[in-house]
Order: sequence, then structure tokens, then C-alpha cells
Amino acid sequence: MERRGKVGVMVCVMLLLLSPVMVFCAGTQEAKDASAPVEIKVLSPYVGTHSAAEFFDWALKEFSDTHQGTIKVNVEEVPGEQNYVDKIKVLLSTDKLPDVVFSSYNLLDLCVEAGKTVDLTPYLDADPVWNSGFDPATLAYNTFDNKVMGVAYFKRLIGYYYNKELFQKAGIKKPAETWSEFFQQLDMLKNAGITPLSLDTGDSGWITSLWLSSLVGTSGKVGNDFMNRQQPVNYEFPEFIKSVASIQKFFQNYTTGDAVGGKYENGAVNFFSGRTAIIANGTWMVKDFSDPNKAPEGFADKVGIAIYPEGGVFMSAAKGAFCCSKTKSKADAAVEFLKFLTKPETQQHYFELTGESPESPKVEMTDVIKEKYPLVADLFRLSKDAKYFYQYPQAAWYANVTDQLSVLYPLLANGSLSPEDFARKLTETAKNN
Amino acid sequence: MKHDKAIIWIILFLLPTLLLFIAIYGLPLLTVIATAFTDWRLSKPLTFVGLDNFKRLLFQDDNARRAILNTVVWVLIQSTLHVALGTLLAFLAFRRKRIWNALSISYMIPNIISPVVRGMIFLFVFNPQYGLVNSFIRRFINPEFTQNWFFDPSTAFFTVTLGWFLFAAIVMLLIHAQMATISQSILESAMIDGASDFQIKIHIILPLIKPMIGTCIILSATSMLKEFEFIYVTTQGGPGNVTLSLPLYLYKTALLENNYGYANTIGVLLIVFGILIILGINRLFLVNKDAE
Amino acid sequence: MPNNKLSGKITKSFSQILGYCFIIIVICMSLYPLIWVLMSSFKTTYQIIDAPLSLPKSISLYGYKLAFEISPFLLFYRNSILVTLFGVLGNIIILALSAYVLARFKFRGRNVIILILSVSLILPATALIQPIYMLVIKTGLYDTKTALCLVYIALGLPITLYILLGYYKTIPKAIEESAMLEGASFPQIFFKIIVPISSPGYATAAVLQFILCWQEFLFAFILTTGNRSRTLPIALQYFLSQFNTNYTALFAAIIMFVIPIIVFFIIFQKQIISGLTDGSVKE
Repeated sequence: MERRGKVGVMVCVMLLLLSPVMVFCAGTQEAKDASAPVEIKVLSPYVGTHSAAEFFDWALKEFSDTHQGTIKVNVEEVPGEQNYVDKIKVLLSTDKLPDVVFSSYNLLDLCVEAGKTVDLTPYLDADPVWNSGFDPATLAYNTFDNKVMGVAYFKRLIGYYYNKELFQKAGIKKPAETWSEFFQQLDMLKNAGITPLSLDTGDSGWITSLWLSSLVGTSGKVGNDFMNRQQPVNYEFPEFIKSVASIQKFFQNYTTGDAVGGKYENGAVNFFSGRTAIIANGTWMVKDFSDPNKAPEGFADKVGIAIYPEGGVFMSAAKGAFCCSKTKSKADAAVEFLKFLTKPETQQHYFELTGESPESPKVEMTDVIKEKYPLVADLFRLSKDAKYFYQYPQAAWYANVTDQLSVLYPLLANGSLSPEDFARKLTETAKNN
Repeated sequence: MKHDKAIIWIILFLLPTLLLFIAIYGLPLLTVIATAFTDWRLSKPLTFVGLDNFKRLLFQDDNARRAILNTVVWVLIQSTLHVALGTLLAFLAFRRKRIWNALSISYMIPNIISPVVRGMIFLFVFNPQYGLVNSFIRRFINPEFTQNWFFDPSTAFFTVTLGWFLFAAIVMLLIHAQMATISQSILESAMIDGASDFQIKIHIILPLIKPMIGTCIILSATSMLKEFEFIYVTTQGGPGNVTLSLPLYLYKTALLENNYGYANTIGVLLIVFGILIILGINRLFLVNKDAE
Repeated sequence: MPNNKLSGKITKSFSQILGYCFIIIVICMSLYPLIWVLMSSFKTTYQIIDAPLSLPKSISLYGYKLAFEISPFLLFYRNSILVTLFGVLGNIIILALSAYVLARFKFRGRNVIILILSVSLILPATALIQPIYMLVIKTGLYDTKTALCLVYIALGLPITLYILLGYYKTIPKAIEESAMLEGASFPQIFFKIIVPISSPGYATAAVLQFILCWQEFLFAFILTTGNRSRTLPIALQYFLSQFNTNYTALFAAIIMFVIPIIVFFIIFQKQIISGLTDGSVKE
């Protein structure tokens, strides 16, 4: 009786632990077939509500249709930009990186440093058509130690948007050409009873940091060099500190009550609802002005676009997609996929779908785009006369430094942190890397 | 029970749990302890650095100092006031079936909603411009009120604490379940003896549920050693480091700075902290004592 | 004397009323977030942020439809149900066994074992990610619901342990002693006597374990790659994007996410209460 009982217990426990396995066990190993397509694994952040999700679905379908039987693309969907970074880091630390990775937040740098990326230079040399489609600056930006490690299919072109109606009400004729004029316009808006700027501090203070970068990036050669540098460590120089002081003034005098602590969407809705007159953001925002779920009807007609005072604009080459395959056959297949994503025709399609500016100089501003995204066309035109080009922090600075921005901006805003100390804290944080 | 026969059963019953524990927690535990003494960053090889990490953590790191202080305060608040809150509610609703049903189901809801979602909701509620709290205060008390609850250094800590302090449903559930195991006869004979409701609660029920209170204190206190999602979604540890908790600091060190060695040093500190709490509460509340 | 009694009665009613008020405040405070999320799920993202306290203009199910379109919601829902079901069963079963021997038998090393098992209460998740990931890959369980079940059983280990330890200790030893005198064996005592009267304890632990399995995001995300084993918390991430967060779909998804737990809890509440009132069996 006892023994049966004992065995009974053991069997029950085992069964219960194993039953999920028995019921949901994965299928048996597929037979290896020499003529089977090469399978590559791609991790994609372009899912859900991401602005590039539609494009990516299209790209996958196109590629799969044209490579039937030769290359099979297995996609793992990874929603959320930070989740994407976290997952890649786990895969990196366990040496299980996929074949294609899309860089963001310095992932490319990290994987290159760890020695896991595939050198794309031989592939570029072997395919002059593909090579010539790129803007050399993009390739240079993705080059480490004379080896091209990544390829991009877009650039980030960022100016700022303003509410034409509110500008008129305040008596402003056109966007400011100098910073002192800009400050004057802020006062004019305030005097007309309008809150001038949308700002934020959450999620690294995206909107606010665009203004900070522009102030620094247009302050002269030193500032401009700094805003084009990768992973700077020292933030304590006069141009930077002066710019931080301006940001402090923005927070204290020229923005909404929920800017401190607000995230991007709070700033955006303040702009859409007409509470504020100015918001800095990239060309992907243009679609939102006509989206009934996001903005009130007819809002798109009220919006104008400008480049920053002193002729500044963000024209960032982007760190692109890269390959971490371990075998040559997979690397070849992955490069085929990268070639497809980055060729000018695909970039054209991306441009038309999202309004994000393409990387290749070969992609033209067609009439379709001019009609669909007149603001983007305006920005292109304006940036031809721009004097200063620079990057934004999320693309260039250390991850822990941009994260610090979220907690330092509130202190700066309420005066408990001085601009000098702000710069000092950023430097200290950068040194931790 | 005969000891030799019993031992076989003891081993058998313990085996699945122990095996699972070793499989899932064994290696991580060893890794955390071992790598706390190294400089281990994601893309570079490991180097041994002895006590350097600990020295930095305890003596040189301002952020760590604030995080430690915050975490200690939160552990204290959670183990005392929070448990008291849950216990009080359990007492108030004891033996009142309808009230208990309504209370337990609704009070559980904030705990069911994950910390991330709770954080998002709190951001809306405490929004300085149109949040519920400020709208209410503006209408009834002071029309000019625009306090930024989460991001003003003077109120940030308080507001973040509310995010977990207020929701003591789990404590309430456990205490109530424990109270209901008290046999009816004891309570009835006390009532016959003329004891008031209040006296019964203080002198009879309270001592009987003391071990469970101890358990709740352990669970609440140690939950503060893991809490970071709510803070991450709302203030991210700011303004400055006012609301930085040790687990959040660990998370940032690991995932933003890729400094796994230092992160695990913080992990060791948390483990030591946790063990002290468990041992201390066990002793105070005799959690492991057998029932009489 | 009569005066004392009267004032005694007044203070008693006063404190009763205070107690009721307190409970009502707590209930309102707890229901408010859910009601707000529900109302917001009928508004557009713009309306939610622009005027969060306003009532929706109409009961629009657009957000609910969108939730299914933007993410693999239905599939993840099914996976969540399966993973949670087995995660809860597995956890309760193995800990029902272990907590019993740890609660009842004073053998050497018992307290040490309990302490070591308690460490799982404090070990940070970041320390667990890599080793568990490697373990799951090496055992061929990557991207399976089984892996998630096993990890969740382990994650819920400490809390269930403490709850069941506490509960088992309230069972008077007299019950087992009298059964032993009648010649019952260990398994008989456990399965025929202890288990039935412990059901309220199991139910309480089950509720907490359910919440853990249902809500867990980190390991569900790291240990899976395709969609076949992914669970609901990952679906919620589909609606979040730095520039494109869709609060309408997100809140609709949250409502659908929270309802099963509430239902589960209501069902188990009855189980807990009925089990407890039968506690007179103990006597």
C-alpha cells in the first residue's frame, strides 16, 4: 500500500511536470535538404504602431516574393525600442545574435566592439551598383576601423513645426533667423496669451533635447563639432553651458505646466490642440497632422515647418542595419536582404510611405511626395540653405547620458540645478562607461 | 511518525521544488556572487577586481548612497504602515460577507493591473495641468494650484511611494484568510464571556495571526528590494536621484551602462539586505514556530 | 452607569461609521483606475491626452478592434491562458508537497532550506536573464510554453511557499496524530486529510500565482522568438512606440487583459470562503 502510494505520488508529479511538454512539444526536426532555401533570422522593431511597420511588412513580402525558394526570412517581432535593445544585448551576451539587426541606441557600436559583425566592405566592392547608391557620408558613418559594418536606408531630417495661425495672432511674420530673434518671438507669443513651446522631459526629453542640440550645434565650430561627435565624454564647455541656460529659460518661462515630467505625446497633444505654437520633431510627424485619431480636423492646414535659427538643421546619417551571421551562406543571404532594403527604389517607397527622408542622393523628391507631404518638401528646400548640420543625442551620446537627461531636466527647470552643474553631471555619467 | 519512513517521504516531497530551485536559481545566484568581484562589461572580457566594486558602491557613489537610503525608507514604510493598512482593512471587513466581497474584489484591481500600467495611470492622475488630483484641488481649494507631484523634488518621493503603499490588497487577503482559520468556538466562547468585538480582535485574533503578519512583513519588505517598474515608468529615478531605488539603479547599471560586474555587486547588497530582513522578522514574529 | 453605556454605544457607532467610510474610500480609489481606463478605451488618443477626465463621446469599439489588428492579440491570449493554467497548477502542486514537509517535520537543515529557498524572493531579475536563457536553449526548450511554465513555477516559488507554510501551521497536529493512531500511511494522511482542508490556502496562493503568470513580461519576451509561445503582456507593447503610442488600443487591450483575472478571483473567492467556513471539519 505504501509503495504504491509512493510510486503514485512520483508518477503524478512527473506527469504534471511533463504534460505541458507532451501536449505542446515542438515539432520534430525538419529533414535537412540540400536544395532548401537559406534561412536567415531578422529581428524587427517595426511592428505594431511603429511608423515603419507598414513599410517593413511590404518590404518583407516583396523580398520573399522575389526570392522564393532561395532565401527564407524568419522575422522575430520585437515591439518597443527599448525592448529591442534589451533583447539584442541578451543575444549578444549569449552569442546568439540573429542574421540581421537594426541599429538603434548604439547597438552597432556595441556589436562591432564585441567582434560579432560581418564586414560588408567586400560585398560593397563586389557590387558597384549597390555601392554607388549610397551617400558616402552614410557609409563613412557606419565604418569602423576602415570596415563598413552597417548600411542605412534613411536619414533623419529634423526641423521644427509652428502653428501659422498662432504666429499670425502674435504678429510673427516668419520663422526666426537668429536666436535673439527667436527669443523675441517667444515673448511676442507670450504677450499674445499663447504658450510658445512644447517641451518634454520623459523618455530622455526628446523634444527638449532637439532644442539643446540646435543651440549647441549652431553656436560655432566648437559646438558643431561636438554635436557631430560620437559618444562624447566632456560636456563642460562654454557653448554647451550657455545652451543649457537657454533651455532653463525655456522651461521656466515659455512652456506648459506639464512639460516637466511630460512625455513626447503630452508635448504633441499640446501642439495639436493649439495650446502651444512650436514643436521640434522630425519629418515622420507630418502624417499625424491629418490623422483624425491624433489631431483635430483641419489642423494640417495650420502647420508650417522651419529650420533652426542660424541656419541649423538635423541631417543625421543613421546607423543602419547590420549583419551578424556566423556562416558564409547565411551572411550572403543576409546581405541580399540588406541590398534590397537599401537600394534606391526601396528607399523611394519608404519615403512615400512615411515621409522620412531617404539616405540615397539618387532618390528624388517626386511630385507624389510633394503633394502628399508638402511640409517635407518645404524642409528639403529650406535645408539646402542650411549652414549647420548636426546630430541628436539619442544617436550620438552614451545611453546612460541620454537617460540622465530625463532626471536632470526637471531639476534644471525648477532651478535647483545650475547649467554648470548640469554639464558636470553629464560628464560624470559619461565617465562611467 | 517513524523517522526513517518519514525521511523518504520528506525527500520525495521536497525533490521537485529543490530541483527546480537549483535549476533556475542556482547558477544565477553563484554568478551574481562571483561576478560582484569583477569588472564585467558586456563586450569586454572579465577581469577580477576584488573589493573595488564594493568600495565604490558603499563609499564613492552618490547615486548609490541615495538609492540605498530610499530603499531602506521604503522597506520600513512598507513593512509597517502598509502591512498595518492591509491588516486594518482585513479586520474591518471580517465576518461581514457582503462588505468583504465588495472590498476584496475592488481592492485587488490595482494589484492586478501591472506596475507599468499603474504607472501610466498615475501619470495621468497626477498630471499638473489636467490630472484628477489637481483638477479637484483647483475646483474646491485653490484655483491656482499647479503642483507637479511627480517631478518637483519636494513631492516626488511621496507621490512615487503612493504607487505601492496604498494598495495593500495582498496583505489584506492573506491576513483575512488566516483570520478565517481561527476556529469558531474560541470566538464564540469569548463573546459569551462578554468580550467586546474590539477586545476579541485585539486579544484573541491578533496573537493568533501574528506569524502571518510576520509573513506579510517579509513579503512586503522584500518586494521593495525588487520594485523598479513603477518608478521607471513614472520618474525614472528623478528628479536627480530623489526617487532612485536600489533595484532601479541595478537595472540602469546593467542595461544602460552594460556594467554587469557592478550591477551584480548591487545584487549582492540586495541579497544580504533581504536575508537580514527575513532572519530578523522570523525571529521577531516567530514565523517558523509551529502552531500550538 | 447608563451614561457610560450610552457614550460607549455612540463611540461604537461612530467608529463603525468611520470604518464604513474608510472602506468606501478604499473601494472608490481602487475602482477608479479601472473605470477610467474603460472610459478612455472609447476615446481617441488625442481625446485621452487632451481631456483625460472627459466622458467619451460614444461607446466606440474601435480601440478593441484595433487591438486585434495591431497585435497578435488572440494568439497571445490563448498562450497566456495555457501558460497561466499550467504555471499555477505546477506551482501549487509542487509547493503543496514541499511546504507540507517543511511546515511539519523538524529535521536537520530545515530552516536552512527555507532560508535558501527564500533567496528567490530577493534575487533580481537581471541576474536571472542570461543563465536561464542559456539553460532554456541548452535543454531545447527555447520558444516553448513549457519553458515559460517552468520559469513561472520557479518565480512564484517563494510567495506560494510562505503562504502555504503559514496555512499548514494552522492545522492542528491532533488531526494527523489521530489518523496515525488509526494506522493511516503518510500519503493517505496527506492526500485524504490534509489536502482537502488546505484548499483555502491553495486557492489563496493560486490567485497570486495567477496574477504573476498572467502579468509576467520579461521572461516571456526573452525566452521566445516567434509568436507561438508569446503571451499577452508582450501584446501590450505593440501599442507603445515613442512617437506613435496608441492609447485607445492600449486601454482596450488592458481591459481585455484584466477581466479574466477579476473573474478568476471572484470564482476563487467563493472557494476560499466556502473552504474556510468548512473549517469546522478541523475540530
